[in-house]
Amino acid sequence: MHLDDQELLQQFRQAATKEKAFTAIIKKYQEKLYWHIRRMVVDHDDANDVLQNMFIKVWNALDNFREDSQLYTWLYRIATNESLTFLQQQKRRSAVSLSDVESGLSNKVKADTGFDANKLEWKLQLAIQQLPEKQRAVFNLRYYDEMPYEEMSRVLETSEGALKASYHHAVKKIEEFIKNR
Amino acid sequence: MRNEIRDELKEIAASLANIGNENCYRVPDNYFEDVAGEVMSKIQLPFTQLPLTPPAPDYFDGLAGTILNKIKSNGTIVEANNEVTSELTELSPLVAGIKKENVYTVPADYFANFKVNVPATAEKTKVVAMRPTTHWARYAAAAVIVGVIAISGMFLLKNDTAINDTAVTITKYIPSLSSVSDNAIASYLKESPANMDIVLPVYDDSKINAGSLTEQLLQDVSDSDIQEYLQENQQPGEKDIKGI
Repeated sequence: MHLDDQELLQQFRQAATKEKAFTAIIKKYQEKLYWHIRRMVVDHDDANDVLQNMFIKVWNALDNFREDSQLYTWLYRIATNESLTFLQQQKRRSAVSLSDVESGLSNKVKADTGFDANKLEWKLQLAIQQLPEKQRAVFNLRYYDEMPYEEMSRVLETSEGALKASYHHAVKKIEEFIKNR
Repeated sequence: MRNEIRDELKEIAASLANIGNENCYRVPDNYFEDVAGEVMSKIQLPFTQLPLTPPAPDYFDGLAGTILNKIKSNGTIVEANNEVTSELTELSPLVAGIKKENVYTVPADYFANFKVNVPATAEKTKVVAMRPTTHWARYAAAAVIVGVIAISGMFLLKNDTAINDTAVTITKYIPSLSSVSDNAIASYLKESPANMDIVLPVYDDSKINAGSLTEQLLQDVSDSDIQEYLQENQQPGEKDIKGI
């Protein structure tokens, strides 16, 4: 039986049903959030780490969630921020430039067991990894999650206009990349 | 029954009947464990109601609203999808033409087994107050401070008393001193300076600073006497020294 977010939050605030409600929240959103993170960090193990950390943060912060926004939007915001932080940490650890990190992500795509260089879907993945991190997040949220700009602006805390422009640029860059391959 | 079917197949196409009927399709792991729950959740009925039981008393009251909400929400999703697709087609027909297929894979049962290792302290991190200083330590510190202040105070008071005593003594003797002549006082001081707080200087500082010690010592000797002395005591190799 699926409870809506408000009911889950109410249960979470009661000690007796807290863990049960949290498990239900995980079950409800784990796949969507996993794929959002995975498309950002590419590697499964990295995605799993980010997802785990993200949910631990949610557990600690959920008591203070004021319901000004939807739970779904809030979770996406945490997942996006955690993914971006993870990529920044990776960049700092290896002390390399952003472009090196991006080529590292492309290498991770190529290292995937199912990678097929001739398949258009894989070319698309390589093209996505060429985008700057935030633009990649915008593209993924729009293209894969089909998120309305209004909602996306709450997730990324950016104006709708800026998001539209960013998505436009991202699509053009991807098209160019695919054409030149 | 099975044999009848096999015989029938043999009659129609003998080659087909020889192929085993093993299922070559695969289903996701644990699919059959979850499918019942999934189906029940999709039709929005609690799992426990499988043997049909009457719906909740207010079920039909809210039914129309629930259905309408569902239709509306589905409509929104369709609209959004169309909006995204048409936007992408406009921006880049090439990208829009790519199948939105998920190319990545996850380990089997990843989502079924996904667990968040919530820290054990997550029940609510205990806010442990800084251990307050024990009472005896506080009192000891206060006693030390009070002691230091008291001892310092005693010393100060003692000095004040000494000063006051001297002042009292001087004041006490002032009237009697007025009748003593200055010469008598000076001679007394010369005879017993050790009894006085004021030590009489051998040399006046101002005089020492005004000229050299040699000048002071020779102050009362005339120039001619000095010249004479020098001439008498001059060494063979020395030249005349003019002035000192």
